[in-house]
Amino acid sequence: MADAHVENRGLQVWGGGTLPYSVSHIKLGMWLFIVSDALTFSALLFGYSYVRIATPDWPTPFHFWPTVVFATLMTAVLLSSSLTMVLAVNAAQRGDRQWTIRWILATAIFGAAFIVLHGWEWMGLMNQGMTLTGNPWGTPLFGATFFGITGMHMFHVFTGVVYLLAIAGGVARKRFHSEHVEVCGLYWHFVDLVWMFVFPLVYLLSVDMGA
Amino acid sequence: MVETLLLLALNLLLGAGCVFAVLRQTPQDVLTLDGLFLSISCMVLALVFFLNGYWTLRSQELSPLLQRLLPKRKESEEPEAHPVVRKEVPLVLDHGAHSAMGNRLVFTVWFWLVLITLVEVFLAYIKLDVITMLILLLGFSVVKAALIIAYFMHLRFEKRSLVWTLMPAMVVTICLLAVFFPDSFRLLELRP
Repeated sequence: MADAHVENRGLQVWGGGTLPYSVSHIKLGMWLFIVSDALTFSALLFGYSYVRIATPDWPTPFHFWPTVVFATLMTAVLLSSSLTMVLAVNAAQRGDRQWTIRWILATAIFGAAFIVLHGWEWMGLMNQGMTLTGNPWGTPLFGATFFGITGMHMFHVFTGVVYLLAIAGGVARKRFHSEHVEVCGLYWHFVDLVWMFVFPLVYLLSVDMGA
Repeated sequence: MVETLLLLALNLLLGAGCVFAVLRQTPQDVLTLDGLFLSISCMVLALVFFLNGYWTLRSQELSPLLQRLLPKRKESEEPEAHPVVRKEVPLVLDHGAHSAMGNRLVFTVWFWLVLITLVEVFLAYIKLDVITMLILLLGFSVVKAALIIAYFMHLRFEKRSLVWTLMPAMVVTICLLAVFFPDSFRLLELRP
């Protein structure tokens, strides 16, 4: 009997019976997606750095008001949305359905606020003549990389808001469990994480120091 | 049902948008390198969206609808449509160890993240040379990213094998991209 027990255990460990990472397939899948998406964003940021180094007339036009203040506010909004997301995951793991939904909705509202603030800031820059193909300050690559990188990030935030709302709906209709909330949180924190690199590289390194 | 139909419509719309982007190009543009790149990218995207739509159509949820719309081929081979049964799941599944972080820890991490952001903004207004500034800003950003990954994304509390599978591969691949920088400096020197 003892041998049978050992054999059984051996099968479980080496025959695929146990989870090697002790996480479920949805979480592992999300982590793999996050790694690949991190490479997408780092390729964009490396491309930006590449053309920036190679271009002598790279403009640094951003003023403290409104661009830097807006960007800082947007950073704070995203960080706070991460905070509410963690609280949502905690509530879900406690089994508190109502507070899970409330915190997820709070996160989605922060995300929507980010999109609104960002769109507002974009409008301001476009009114100053900055577009994908040109700007009044220097090389056209400035506008192209700026809108490319922040646009890609904003698309991720938008997707994240849709994802959050879908998860909130699923939790309300008792289709999803706490792990779905947690995996959604992983995506949301990743979007936050990317902004932590976009903010200094795209905004803070382009501030107008008054020569 | 409604969500699935909305998803289908969104897929068709995005696919059509991609095809439209290709068709909008003038014929001579298509043959340039940029035009070719754009066309191929858009066509691949359109394919992805249309395939997605096709699979959505064939999914279990929509197949009864499709069968009603399409003329029936043979009565005999028609399988009975299985109604989709949605099971209610409890919010907390009892497998896996939950190590929920305390609220105090969460707020502490958040506080530090905001503080580092403010320090970064402050740094941007100090006159430093570009290299020092870049190193400082990126250093702070890496610290922030590490905080987010470790605590918010909960990786500190996962099994170590997951960390060792994901993180080194990602970091090494990202660092490998730096191989392009000498070329960008060369490009700067080559400029007339």
